[in-house]
Amino acid sequence: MDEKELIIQLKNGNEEAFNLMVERYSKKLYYLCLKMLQNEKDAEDTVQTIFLKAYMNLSKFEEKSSLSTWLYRIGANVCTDMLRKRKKETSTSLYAMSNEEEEYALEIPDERENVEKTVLERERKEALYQAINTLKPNQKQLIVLRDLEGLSYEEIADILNMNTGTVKSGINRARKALLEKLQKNTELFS
Amino acid sequence: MKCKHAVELFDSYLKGTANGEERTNLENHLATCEVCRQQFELYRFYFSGVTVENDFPVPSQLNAKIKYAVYQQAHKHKKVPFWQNKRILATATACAFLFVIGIMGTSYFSKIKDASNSTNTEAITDAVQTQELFLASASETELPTAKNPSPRSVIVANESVATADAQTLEEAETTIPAYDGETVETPRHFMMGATVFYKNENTSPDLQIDSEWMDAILSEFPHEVLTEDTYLVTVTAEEVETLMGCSVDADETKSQLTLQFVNENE
Repeated sequence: MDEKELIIQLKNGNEEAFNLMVERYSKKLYYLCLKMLQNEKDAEDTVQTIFLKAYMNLSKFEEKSSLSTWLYRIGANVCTDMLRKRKKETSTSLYAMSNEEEEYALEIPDERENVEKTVLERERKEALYQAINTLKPNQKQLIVLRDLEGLSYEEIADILNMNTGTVKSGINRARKALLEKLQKNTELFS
Repeated sequence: MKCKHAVELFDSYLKGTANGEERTNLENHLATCEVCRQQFELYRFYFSGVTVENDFPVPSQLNAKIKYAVYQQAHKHKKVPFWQNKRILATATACAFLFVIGIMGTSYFSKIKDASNSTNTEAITDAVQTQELFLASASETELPTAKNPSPRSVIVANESVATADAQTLEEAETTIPAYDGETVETPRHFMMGATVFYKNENTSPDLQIDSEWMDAILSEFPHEVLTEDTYLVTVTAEEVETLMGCSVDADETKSQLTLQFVNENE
């Protein structure tokens, strides 16, 4: 079913069409939530909330943007709201790894070189996501949508209801803030 | 080249838009400046497209959970006329059921008992097929979610366990759990590969089928309609445990579970 037909069926309350929408977009939205919230349980619950909001607001979907953009818009708003309500002390980054796991990973002698590479890669990702986690919600949103989800400036402008120029300058500022935070871990990148 | 100018070239260098002179100058600078080299590696890592998908797979049954959550909310908002009200319907159903079970129970159990003494599996199968299908009343069911992995209450049907296997029948009859009150606090135990019914001696007018649960299960799993209210659903043990919040005994990875529901429009 193409998108146009899908939207018609969705607005008619066709259950199969809704199921199809879930199947097409759930994975994308799950990873959006995971990168924004950096918690698997929260991401799983939030993606349910996104589809619930989509279901309740299908009649309001004006079709000025694609279905994907509309869902991303709901997702970005829900995630940003959650981030604003979150207490700082309860948030941990996605790749937070226990010391036991690192030591275990290095205990395999035959594959130590490969394992060390994997551990280094993981430490880099941990540093990155930790730094992302400390950004303000609106900066985190821009970084996730552009640099982690790979969306274009125009798509992001559509999702966040901004003009493209504002998106570009916002992303530049967010990157600068992020890379400054990452300076503390440059030894991981030498 | 100063470090400040070198950093300004990182973006264009990595994107391949820097001209030849810029590239050469930057490479020469990086060859001699450890600090800039580290920063450059940081930029390169960041803009290389760091992915999480390989490290964090999508949760199992994500789509089913999404659909269930939406259906549950969607049906909550539906207004139904009083003659379709579940409580009224359940009360009438329970009264009819209590009358029927008294009459049918005797003949049903005697058939199963006869079958269990038989070594002929055809006789057992026949007994199962000819048994009357009783209305099943149930407490409201919650499927597990990430926040509530152990649902509070589960389906409680009202018949004894019957199987096509004589040995299993005896075991099944001795393992029927006893329930206290209307709400079952612990997950139910299904026997896979069997038509499953359970005794419930606490039939209450407040018990009602959760039709949203039924709709969610039927939309998710392949099933065969046996009668108007009975469905043969093909599920794995893992699916039953995850979605129905019940433990299972299963040697096979796929088995058949018979679920019976009241049609709320009757």
